[in-house]
Amino acid sequence: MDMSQGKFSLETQRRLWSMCREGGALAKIQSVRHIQLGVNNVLVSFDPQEKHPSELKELLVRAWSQAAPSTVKGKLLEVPVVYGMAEGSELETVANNANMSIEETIALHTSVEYHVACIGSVPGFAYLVGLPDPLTTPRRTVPRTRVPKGAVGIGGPQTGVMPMDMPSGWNLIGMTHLDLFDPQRDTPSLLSPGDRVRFISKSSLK
Amino acid sequence: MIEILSNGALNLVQDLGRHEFLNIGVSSGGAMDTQALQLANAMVGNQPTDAGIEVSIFPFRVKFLQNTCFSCTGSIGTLKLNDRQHSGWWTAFAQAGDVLSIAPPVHGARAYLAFAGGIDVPLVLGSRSTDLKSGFGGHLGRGLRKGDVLNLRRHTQTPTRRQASYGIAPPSRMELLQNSSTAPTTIRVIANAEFDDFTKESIKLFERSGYRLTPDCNRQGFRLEGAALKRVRTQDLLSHGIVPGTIQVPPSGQPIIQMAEANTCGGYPKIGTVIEPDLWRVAQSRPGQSLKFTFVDFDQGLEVAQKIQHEMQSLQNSISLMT
Repeated sequence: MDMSQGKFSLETQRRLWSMCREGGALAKIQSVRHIQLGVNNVLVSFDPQEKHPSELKELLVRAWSQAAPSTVKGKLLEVPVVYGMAEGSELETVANNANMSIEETIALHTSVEYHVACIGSVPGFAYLVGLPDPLTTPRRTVPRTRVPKGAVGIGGPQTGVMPMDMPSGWNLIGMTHLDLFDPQRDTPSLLSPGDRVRFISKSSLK
Repeated sequence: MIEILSNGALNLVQDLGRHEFLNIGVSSGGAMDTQALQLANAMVGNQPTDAGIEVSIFPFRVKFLQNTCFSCTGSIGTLKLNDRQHSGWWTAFAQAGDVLSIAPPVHGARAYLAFAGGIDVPLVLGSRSTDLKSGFGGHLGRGLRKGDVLNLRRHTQTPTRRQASYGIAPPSRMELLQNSSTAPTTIRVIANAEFDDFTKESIKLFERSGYRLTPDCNRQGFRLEGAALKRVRTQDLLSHGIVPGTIQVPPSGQPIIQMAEANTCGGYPKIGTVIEPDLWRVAQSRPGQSLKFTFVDFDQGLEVAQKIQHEMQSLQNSISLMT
C-alpha cells in the first residue's frame, strides 16, 4: 500500500507506525503473515488461500482509513560521530552542495532530532527522516561496492548509519561506533520505527 | 557427523529461511529452491524445516563420519557414493567412511543434500540458514570449506539399517529438464505497483523478448539483460518493501529479480513479481540462460500454486510409503 503523495509526510508515517505495530490493526487481519513498513508505504504479505486478494484489499483500506497517528514518543538515541573521518569522506561535497562551511554543515547535521521512519534494506538499518533541506545531497552516480560499518551518510533527503559493511551510493560524512544490529541480542535491532536519533560531534571515538 | 572435502564459498547450510524479522531488515533467506530442499528432507524422514546443504559449487564432495540416510535433489550431475553411480533425485544409506560426490549438473544450478535428522547448527533468529550478506547463521555465517565438520541432529526415528535406495521424479521438473537446453524458461509474473508507469511498448517487450541472466547473479538478486524497459513517469520513489521475486527496473531499464537474500526495502520501480511457485525455476537458471516472462492475474497465480501444492503433497505421500 503506497500512502505517499510524493514528498515524505511525518503525519502519514505516524499513522503507519500505529497501524503496523505489533498487535496493531494490520497484524489482526486474518491471513496476514508479514508486514514490511517502508517510508510512507507498507508491504503486506498474506496467504491467498486463506483470503482472496480482493477481500484483503478492502480490509487493508479500511484499516488505513481508521488508523490514528501514533502518539508514542520513541526512545532518543544519541550517536557520537567523528565528522570527516570516513574513508574518502564526502563531507566537503555535502558542504559545497549546501553552500556552507564544514563547521556549519556539522552544526546543521547535529542540530535536529531525526525520526526513524522504518527499519529495513539490511538488518538494523534505520531510515532517518528530518534532514534539514540544505543538506539534501544527490547519491553518488556510481555506488561504492563497500562502505564500512559505522559510516554515517546522506543519500538524497535521508541520513543514516551503515549497520554493516555494505554497498552504498550515499555520501559519507563521518564515522560512529554503534552496533545497530546484533542477531544474538534480545532486541537485535537497536532502533525501532518511531525512535529518535541525535548526532553529536566528537573529536575521537573511544 | 559429516566432513566437507571440497571448498565452495557458495555451498551453504540452508533451511526454509527466517521470515519473522523482515521488519528489522533481515532477509527471508533460506534455500533458493525450497521445493527441492523440502523433498530432500521428506526422503530422509525429516521435517520440511530441517537444514540441509545448498550446493552451487561443483564438484562437491562430502565424507560420512557416521552411518546415516541421505538424499540429493535439485540440479544434479553424476552422483557417486564411493564408486557406485546414481542419477536423479535419490536417497540411500551411507556408512561411516563413505564418500559422496556430486558432479556439475548438465541443466540447472543448485543441488540439495539432506541428512537424516538435519544439520545441527545453532538456530539464529529462529532459523539455521546461512545469511551470507550479513554473515550469520548456518555454519559460522559462511560458505563451507574443505575440512569443515558438521554434526547431524538425532533423528526422531531410528533409521533402518538398510533403507531402500530409491528415487523420485517430480512431473514439474521433468518438463523443465526437457526444455532447458533449447527454449527459454517461462516465468509467470503478477503486475506490481509501478506496472502502469511503464510504456505499453515496454510491457510488450518485457513479455515478448527474452531476458538473459548476466554473470551478476547471486543469492540476493539476478541481473538480467535484454530490451531496455522505459517508464512514462520517472519520479523517484520513497523506499518500500520488496520480496524474493520482485522484479525491479533501475534507470538502465535492465530488470533485476530479487532472490532469497533480497534486501527487505528498495527504491527502484517494480514492473512485476514472479509467482512463488515459479521462483525455483529462476533459482535453477544459470548466467547465459534466457528467461521469458508472461503476466498472469492473481487467480491464475493461485491456481498454479494449488497445482504445485498438490504435486508436493502427492510426492510426499509416496515418499512416506517408502520410508
